[in-house]
Amino acid sequence: MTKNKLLNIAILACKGLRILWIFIFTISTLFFIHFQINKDFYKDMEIKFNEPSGFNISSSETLFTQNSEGDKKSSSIQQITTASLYINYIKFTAVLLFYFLSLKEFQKVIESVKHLKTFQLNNVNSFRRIGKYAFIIFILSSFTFITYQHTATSGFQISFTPLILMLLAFILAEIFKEGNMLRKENDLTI
Amino acid sequence: MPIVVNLDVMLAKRKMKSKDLAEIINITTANLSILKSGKAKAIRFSTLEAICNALDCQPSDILEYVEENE
Repeated sequence: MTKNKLLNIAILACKGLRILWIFIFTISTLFFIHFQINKDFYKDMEIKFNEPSGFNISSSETLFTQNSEGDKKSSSIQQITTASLYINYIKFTAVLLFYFLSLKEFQKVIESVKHLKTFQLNNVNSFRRIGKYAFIIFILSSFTFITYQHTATSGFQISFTPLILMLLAFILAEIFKEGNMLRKENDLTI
Repeated sequence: MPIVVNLDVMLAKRKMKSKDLAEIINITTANLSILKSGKAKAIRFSTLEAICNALDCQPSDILEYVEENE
């Protein structure tokens, strides 16, 4: 596979993921609006708090303010409070937005590699931005707080995936900075 | 930089234009301009050899070390 084919595939993948992100955002917004119009539609749906899987450390606590019926590990979506719904919707949208922006920056980097402008200062800035976005995603996905009419669930988790992504992005930014210096020196060698 | 490029002086002595020299030594006029203005970070031996050959001079005629005043 030639270099350009690989880069084209990567650019296409980035574009596809960005479209998917927009699609997820649209679906979640529609759900958010529909939930407020017709809450009864969701009365049978439950949120289950499974043990988290994957590369993370987490702890969660369920607080019971009043006696509530049903399983302690699940709550009906219908009972979620409006404030909690708004907070979680904004949090989810923000995470989606920062993933979207990270993908956009990554696509910029790949396009510059394709146009043989790899070690430019723009790419250094792009990787730094990706690192910052990954850190924001890490912060946003660390806390979970959902309040229902009778109960509340709060949780804290350290997700290592955005942290590793952040570290890699900042390391790549430094590598590209070094590359940019070497390119400048090479350009000024006659 | 304490290394001064005296290419202008040599070109004047040989009554040669920058454009002609760039053509002879096969580099772009933009690169020759960088060299003349002293913005260049380094010069390749092959370029120096070509310049010396074209201008019939020694490297010391083109490059000069001048101590920097603090």
